[in-house]
Amino acid sequence: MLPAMSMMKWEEVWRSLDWDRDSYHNVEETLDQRADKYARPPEQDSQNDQDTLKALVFERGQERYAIPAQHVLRGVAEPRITPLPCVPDYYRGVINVRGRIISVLDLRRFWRIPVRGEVETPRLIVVRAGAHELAIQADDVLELARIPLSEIVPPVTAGIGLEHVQGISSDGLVVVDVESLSRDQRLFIHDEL
Amino acid sequence: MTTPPDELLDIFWVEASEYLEALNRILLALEVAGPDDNMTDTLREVSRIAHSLKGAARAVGQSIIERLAHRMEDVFDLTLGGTLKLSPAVCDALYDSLDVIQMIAGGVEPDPDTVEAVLGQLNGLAGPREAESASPGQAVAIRPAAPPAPAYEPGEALEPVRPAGVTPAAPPAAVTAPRVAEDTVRVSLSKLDQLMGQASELLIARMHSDQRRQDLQALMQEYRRWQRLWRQVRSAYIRTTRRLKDTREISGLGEGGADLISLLDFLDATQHYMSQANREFVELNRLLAQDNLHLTTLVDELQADIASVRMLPFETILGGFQRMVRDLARETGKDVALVVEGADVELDKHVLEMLKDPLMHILRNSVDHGIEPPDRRVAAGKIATGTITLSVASRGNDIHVSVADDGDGINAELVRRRAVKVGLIGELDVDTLSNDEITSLIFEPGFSTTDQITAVSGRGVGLDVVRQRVEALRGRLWVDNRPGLGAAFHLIVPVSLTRIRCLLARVGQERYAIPLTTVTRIINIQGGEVFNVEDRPMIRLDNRPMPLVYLGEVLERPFPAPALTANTPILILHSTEQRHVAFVIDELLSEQELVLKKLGDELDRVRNVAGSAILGTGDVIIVLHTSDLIKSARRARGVIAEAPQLPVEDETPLNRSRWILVVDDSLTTRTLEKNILEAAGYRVRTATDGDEALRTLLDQPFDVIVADVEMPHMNGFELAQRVKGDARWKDTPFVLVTSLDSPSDRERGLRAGADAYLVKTRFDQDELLQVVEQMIT
Repeated sequence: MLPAMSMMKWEEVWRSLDWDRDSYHNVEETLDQRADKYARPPEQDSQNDQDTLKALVFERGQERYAIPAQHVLRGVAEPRITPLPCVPDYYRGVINVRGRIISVLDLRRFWRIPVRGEVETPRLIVVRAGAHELAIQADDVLELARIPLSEIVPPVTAGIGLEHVQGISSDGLVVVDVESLSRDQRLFIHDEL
Repeated sequence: MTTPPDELLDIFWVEASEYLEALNRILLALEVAGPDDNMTDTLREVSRIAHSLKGAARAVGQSIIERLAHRMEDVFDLTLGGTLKLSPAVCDALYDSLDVIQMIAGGVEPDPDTVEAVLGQLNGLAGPREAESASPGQAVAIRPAAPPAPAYEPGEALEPVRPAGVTPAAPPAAVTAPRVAEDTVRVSLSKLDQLMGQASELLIARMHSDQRRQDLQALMQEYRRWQRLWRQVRSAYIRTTRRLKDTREISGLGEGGADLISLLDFLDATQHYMSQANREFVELNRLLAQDNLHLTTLVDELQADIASVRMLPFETILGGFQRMVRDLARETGKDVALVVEGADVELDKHVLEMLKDPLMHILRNSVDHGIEPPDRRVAAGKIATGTITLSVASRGNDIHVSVADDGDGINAELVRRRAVKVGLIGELDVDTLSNDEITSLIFEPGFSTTDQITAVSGRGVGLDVVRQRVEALRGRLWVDNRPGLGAAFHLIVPVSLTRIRCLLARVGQERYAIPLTTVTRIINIQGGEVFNVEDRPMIRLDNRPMPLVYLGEVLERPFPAPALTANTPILILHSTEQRHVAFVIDELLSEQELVLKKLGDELDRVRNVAGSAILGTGDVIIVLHTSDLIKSARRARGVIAEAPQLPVEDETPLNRSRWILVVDDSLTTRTLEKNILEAAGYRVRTATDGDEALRTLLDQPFDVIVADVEMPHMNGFELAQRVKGDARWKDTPFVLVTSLDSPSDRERGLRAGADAYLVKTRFDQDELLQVVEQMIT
């Protein structure tokens, strides 16, 4: 606490304001109780876990996608992306994450879905895909959702270029199959001149 | 014995290789020690190591190693007791044992006969020992159990007799103090890299902390705004307080009056509180600035320390060299001393490992081809023992390694014939090549073949492999040949492969790094003549036309090329094949040392990209691949790029016949001047100092001499005096080049007889060419 705070004659101030100190303490108590409640680990519901997919939901080009949470390593809110020359356009560049250089992948372009208008600051979701790590570009990261597995149906739109999709949820979330994505040969660049 | 777990075996092999290294090193030290040196401690040390090896081998069931180590220990103990002398034959037996152990450690099962033969030798020396060597058949030594050679009998010969082939090499410090005692721990390189990454992360954390400070300052700004508002209402506050203190008014307000007074009191207290808080902010801001500065220093130091952990002294790869030179000298019947200078210079572990084989090969080449047999040396008036000097020196970010022998040198005539025979050069080329150029043909693939190489050197690799290795290290390699006096191989490699000096250039809105070693020159449009060939711009520099392209275009970036104005910066880059292309950039930013980092695994090889680096700000910068850029640029141009070699023809024949001698002790300057002059069509020979210059002048006439002023032994003034004072050369134009620019120096130079005086300026070669041209015409 800053010394200035301790110099304040709070007792006098409260008295002059006719402050109800008891209710003030109640506020603290209520806050403590609330903090305790949030700090407690969530109740394990094995039934729940088996039937649902925990996934990070993000938005990219007016479409919502979900990445299974087990693949997500971290998010980068204001990435400084360095463009990388002479690679396909789905590689947006590279970023520095804790001293490691990680490639930024735009799934939209990877799937050859036209992109109209870019957000000013994209967000990145760093995922572990097989043996390596990639940063997936998002316009916005929305929430960590639990999607009932029963609601995820295989994509019926096969053929329009949506490879590596585990399925689509009832409310239109495209669930990305990270494992399958990590094996796509198009991700590997070996361009010897 | 049960099979030990793999982990235990792994540990054993690591331990064993350390023991082997130490045994090899100490044994050699013992062998070269003089008769008067007290080697008792060293013998104890070596006996202890053999003992430890024996114990470790037993623990993992490596019985052959155990038996060998056991017998070696016996031999050392006998020597320690004074009953056995470490004669060359004894040492041979010990080395043979070490070789067998090395073989086993390398995963090769030695054939039982060899093992028994080696054990037999040792038994012959140490005498049968208790039960183990009881079987009589094994006691037969392959070589007769050495009658102790009278190696160190004092007073027996005038010259101290040395075991053939080796004279003291390593400094005594390395001999008597094997480095075993220090507490160490093995760390994988990837862990160090991780540490490095985290250290740079720390730098980013510091930058965030800077940001917090700015936030704090913004807060202080807010306070000042509040303060202004408060001052505006202050008089209203005072008036109200006074009026309320008047009891008459309070009674008029009733209950509300007391409340109002409380509120006004609170307002007063708050105002005091705010100004106190502001003083705290100011202090906090000051402390935060101090902490940030401290943090910056610490992060810098941490990064430097982590980088230095990867560094090892050159000494660590020396052991094998000494042994190899010794063995090879014995085999070829030569007397060779290996002298090592600068063993304590430190290099990145990776670079050190990659240097080992090329150096081994050059050394082998020197013993085998360089040093003459003793009788021939004596006949040539040299001392019988040949000397090979391996010296290591640190030059800024580079390490200069040289292997110099005092042998016969390289016979350019033999090289010439050989090169013609294997088709490296045509008969006609021969006349146009200088001796230096001929000599450097030994690095060409296909030069060395079995029929000219003896059994020793021809172990599958030629000097071309050495060159490849050095190139992979982004280094340089050349040979300095002095017929009859010896040859010196020079290697220059970066201290660290991961640290790389770069030029930072802006291309459109992006920044790129270009390795400095690939930058030939930095010029602007004025520095060269721009012309078009089939609508494609070219630039002519020193009579050499080259394509002129925008770097952004080669990198396939969407930026428009900048308009070519007088000040547009242009980088002339060269590939390893010495092809040149001129690249237009938007802006030259800075020169910086960077730590090269790989891109992600999925981006195994991206064309035109060598890797990346993290800047101090935490941003990533892409490091470009110059050879790729040049290929890309030339490919984009198709054949057009090759066509305009023609304009050169006009001037070449004239300059082609002109010889220039460049004298400078700095390799960089020498090379730079040589390149500039050669690019203009002159033929150039170089010398490193005044002495060498005078020797070279004896070889052939020169049209111009270009010499540096500051040189060791004989400086440029003295050289000018010597040259101008000699009837043979007094008419040869003499140009002094210097970084000194004072009237007195200029005068001194001209008094010494120099015809022109040139002040070195960065990258300005036009002046040099102009002056040289003036001298000739």
